[in-house]
Amino acid sequence: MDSPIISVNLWQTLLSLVNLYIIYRILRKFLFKPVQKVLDTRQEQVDRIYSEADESRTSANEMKQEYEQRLASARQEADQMIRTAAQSAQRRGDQIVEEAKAQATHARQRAEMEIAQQKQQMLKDVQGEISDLAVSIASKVVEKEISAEDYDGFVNDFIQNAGDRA
Amino acid sequence: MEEKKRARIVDLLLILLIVLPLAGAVALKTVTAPTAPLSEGVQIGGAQEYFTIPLPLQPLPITAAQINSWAVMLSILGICLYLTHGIKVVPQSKRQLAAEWIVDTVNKLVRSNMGEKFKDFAPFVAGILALSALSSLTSLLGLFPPTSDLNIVLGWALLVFILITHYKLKGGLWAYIKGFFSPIPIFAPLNIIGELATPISMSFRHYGNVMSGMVISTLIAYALRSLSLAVFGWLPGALSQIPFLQAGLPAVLSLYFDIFSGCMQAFIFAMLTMMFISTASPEEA
Repeated sequence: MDSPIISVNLWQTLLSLVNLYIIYRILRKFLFKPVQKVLDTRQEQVDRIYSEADESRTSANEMKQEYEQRLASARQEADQMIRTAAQSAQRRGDQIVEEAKAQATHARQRAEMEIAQQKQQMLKDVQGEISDLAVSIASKVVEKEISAEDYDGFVNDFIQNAGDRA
Repeated sequence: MEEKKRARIVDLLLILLIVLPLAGAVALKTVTAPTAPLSEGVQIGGAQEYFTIPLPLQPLPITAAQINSWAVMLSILGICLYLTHGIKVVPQSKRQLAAEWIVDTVNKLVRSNMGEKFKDFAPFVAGILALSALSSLTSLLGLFPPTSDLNIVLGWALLVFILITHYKLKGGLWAYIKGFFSPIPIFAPLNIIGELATPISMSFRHYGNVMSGMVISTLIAYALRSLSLAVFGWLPGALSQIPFLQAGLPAVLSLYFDIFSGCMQAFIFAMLTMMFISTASPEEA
């Protein structure tokens, strides 16, 4: 038997009202609560992962900066060292050259002096020998005695000529 | 391995929980349906009554509408349990994604229509949507849709009305009473009627849409059958009794009345619920 197409029944209405309330409780307990819990947990995890990533990125940046600083200072130090070494080497080289020059000058001066001395000595020797020789030759060639003044003038002329020729 | 097997068995049981109530309702209908002679004209009635429980004031008839709505409720319970079974923080199943999508969508809908303050209303709105839409969709199984029984939707609308009044009373009893006498005292009767009209209009809108769809579908099916008999009546034997013209048009109409209209009314009912409750709250104004 069919109920009329439209009728109002208090109990049916109440039953339906309770039904909707039950469905609300069912959806809340069996669908929304568990899903929301899972979503919240996931959100938490994602947040944690993000914050961890941020942290590690920050620390990595800090480390990088530190390394760069260290590298820069090391490079500066190396530059400094090279510059110092070059400077000292330059100084040392200059010193050596100076010393060498001084030594060389000294040696040359001594050598020149020695040469001059030897030359003088040699000239003296030669002068003596020549005068002896000249005297003997002259005494042999010229039988007359030669006066002292003549002799001296003669010898001096000779030496002059010999020195010019030499 | 053992756990996996157990999860499978639970899944199967939950799917049975979804399907069995509806199958049972269909079976009950086919068993108890009165075999009315076809040629006696069209008859449109309410839900079939199975038995009546005597109660004070009014007896409570248990009709197909009640049975079907209970079947739908059990199915919804089954769907909820099935979707959230084996739910994990890192989603590994499509059904978890579906569950999350449902929760997320309803949460967003409620938040955008009612504001952050009413976000706990999401399960209630989801309940209205699910119960209303699935109740209307039972007509696809050939069942009597519970939403085409006025009492069912009137019950829902009354619950909404109770919530509206509850939120209006939060502003104080005096403010609630004074609200009926604004802007001027002479408006009081109109205001009271307007207040009472809310659940009535909500329930009649829903009931009327589903019911009228059913009526139109029945009428057109009957008309097509009559036309078919008139056109193909000359065919020999049993062929003349086949209503050829009933193929086609009723399916298209069913697409509109059963699926579109059913979902639409569920949505409208849920939207109106959200709107009325959120505007009833005094802090909201």
